[in-house]
Amino acid sequence: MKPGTQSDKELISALADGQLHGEEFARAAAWVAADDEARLKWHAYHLVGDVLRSGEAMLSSRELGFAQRLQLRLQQEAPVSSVAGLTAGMMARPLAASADISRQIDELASNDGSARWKLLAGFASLVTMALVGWYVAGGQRDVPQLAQLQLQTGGSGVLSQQSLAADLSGPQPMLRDPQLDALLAAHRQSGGGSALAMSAGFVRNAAFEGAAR
Amino acid sequence: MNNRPAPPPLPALPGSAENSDAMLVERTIAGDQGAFELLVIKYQRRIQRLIGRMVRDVDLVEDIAQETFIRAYRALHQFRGDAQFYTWLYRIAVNTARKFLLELKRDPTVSENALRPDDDGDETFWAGNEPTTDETPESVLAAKEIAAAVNQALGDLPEELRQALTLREIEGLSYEEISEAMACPIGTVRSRIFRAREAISARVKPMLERQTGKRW
Amino acid sequence: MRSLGAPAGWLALRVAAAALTLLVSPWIGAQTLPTVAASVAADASAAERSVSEWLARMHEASLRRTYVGTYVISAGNTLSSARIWHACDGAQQVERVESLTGAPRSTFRHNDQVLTFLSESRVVVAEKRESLAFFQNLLQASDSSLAQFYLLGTPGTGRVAGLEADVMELRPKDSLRFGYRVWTEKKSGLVIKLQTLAGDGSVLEQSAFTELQLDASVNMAKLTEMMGQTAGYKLEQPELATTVAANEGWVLKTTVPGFKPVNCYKRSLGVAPAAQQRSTLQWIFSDGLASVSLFIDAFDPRRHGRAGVFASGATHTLTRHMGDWWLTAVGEVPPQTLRAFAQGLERNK
Repeated sequence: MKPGTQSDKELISALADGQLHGEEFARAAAWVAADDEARLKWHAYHLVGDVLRSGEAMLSSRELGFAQRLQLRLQQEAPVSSVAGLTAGMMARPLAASADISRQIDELASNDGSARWKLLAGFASLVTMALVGWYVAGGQRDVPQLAQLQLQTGGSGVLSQQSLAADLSGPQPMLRDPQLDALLAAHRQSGGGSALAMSAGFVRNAAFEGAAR
Repeated sequence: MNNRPAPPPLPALPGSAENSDAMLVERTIAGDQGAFELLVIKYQRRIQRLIGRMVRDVDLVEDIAQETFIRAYRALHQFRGDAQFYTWLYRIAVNTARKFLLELKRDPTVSENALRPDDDGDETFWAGNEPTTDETPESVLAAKEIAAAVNQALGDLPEELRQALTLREIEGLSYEEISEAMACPIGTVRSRIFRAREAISARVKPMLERQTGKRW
Repeated sequence: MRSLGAPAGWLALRVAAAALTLLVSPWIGAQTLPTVAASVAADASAAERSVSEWLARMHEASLRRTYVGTYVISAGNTLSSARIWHACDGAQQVERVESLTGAPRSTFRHNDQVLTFLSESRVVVAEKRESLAFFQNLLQASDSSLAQFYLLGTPGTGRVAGLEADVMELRPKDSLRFGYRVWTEKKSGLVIKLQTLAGDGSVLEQSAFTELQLDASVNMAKLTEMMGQTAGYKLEQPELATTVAANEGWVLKTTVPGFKPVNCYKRSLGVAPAAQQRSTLQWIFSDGLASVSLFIDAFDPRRHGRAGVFASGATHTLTRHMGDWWLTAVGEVPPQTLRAFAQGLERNK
């Protein structure tokens, strides 16, 4: 692989998005891992993605050295392929059993009567909710709060043209836009939003997520 | 009054077409440690931020993050390819941080400032409001500048590049979905995302060089 | 604390609600209920009064109980969750909310004073959240309009976060608003789960506690103390001034059924570093449950390009170029309601 050509650099971007498979994937992965410049591009692309998604302060002054330091330590580890199984005591607890997760999902998708819980969406998109654990006071009992979920919303996956006429037959999915986020926040804060949600304390401050970007 | 009917079936997990994380894990198990480094680079910021909400001391955050990736590496055989690598990694990070914190609390030489204070006495590890004092003002400013540059560069992109990147990075759409949304071939999607990334990282390069003293 | 609402009134409500479900109900599905022969009309008006009573009870519960919990909001294709500590002591309330998703964010509320700490940008935003007082006034003022536009559905029971709950449905009588399904904890009346429903019964948005400790011991003094720790943070106090729409040159020539004007502000938007310096007009309407904000700005081609209708969960947004002005209408209502507002909005100067 000749590093530096436009098409090769494009491979790094494609690799980051899981667009490469089989032989092509193997070659690209090997190249990016071994080539300093390519690896730095990989780093830059993911840094940009993280900043876009969640704002600043995701950087420390030792940003670039982190993975290298880790590699030095990993070289002292036995290659993972030769490890037969778990090293004892590695994990504080075993990974969540799938039964656990199903139960959490049931609770979240609680249904009643004939209406089932479906997520209405204009397009299919992945949402991952992280598992969070916490200790109950005085009990040292670890209660998983939120299941690890992957929700793929139903939907045709078809979006209309991006250039919108003033009056469309159906709503478009909301693209992240700091201006709109600020308006949404203002709407919710000034007595907007569902009165029921407000009184319940279910406050969604999406705009502050936007502001922090 | 109402018997609970069976819960709706779980939506299907995404096809492995875009599960590049799982493919990198496979490569690691097959012997390529470099593939694991790519995963580390991808997730180091998120993992450090997660840990940073439990622990204030920046050095400690980094130590715990390093330890997290090492544990993940050792436990790679346990990772099942049909799950999401990040959620599996997240769990390891939380457990590792908790273990660290419990050990530190028993250690009388560790300063209280390293940890976030407990609230309500119920040992929940939620971040307090204290600003991290460990980053120097210069590095905080540098981080802000880089973020501002990224956002500025995004805004300066031609519309179709900006849209493609936004749909991919922020909305998390697949190339197929973006190709439908933007009514263009997948090859065009790939090219637009690449050019958008190139343009933004070019803007960011000089700042990173300045910050870390390294050249690209 | 004993929950409010006399048992006899609740029973009357159940009977009346049963009668009401004999009307067309695409949501209730296959459930059928025994016919209530006599005095349906009398019971129906009792039920109408009770919508407001039931809402008031629910709202009271949220003010008077102390609790700690974790909740999840799913809307469209996003999930957000937070941990909440809520304490009250006589007339005072203190609340703390920590975001568990997205950027780290701590919100503290002391009665209607709210401080939001944005730890990544080191900014603390101070605002007065009028919504709670506003909600109480709304309940008193729009007694009749709530019943005029919403129907109470069949009561049921359920379980949320391990707690027994009563379930009530509110169905809109027209297509200008959404319906709701509300789970209230049996003993306290606290809302523990809430769904916003589209006309076909599908769930647009859901908020629910995944874990909840009622009457948990929450240290109110500690919370108040945490609220005061603003050192190292830059204080932002967004501009917010009450005004009258007509004085600003705006009038709604054709009102939207059920929606009454509630408030009108001149305000700044956003927080540092993206805060806008110029003022925007925000005119707020509500039907007692759902609200709509009309944001009006001078038209600026650099900022205002994307006109259309957008959806995010139950929240819809409509943007439109109106001569020298740019309208952004936002509300937890169907798009046609926002169009009706846009149609009726006129300049009177």
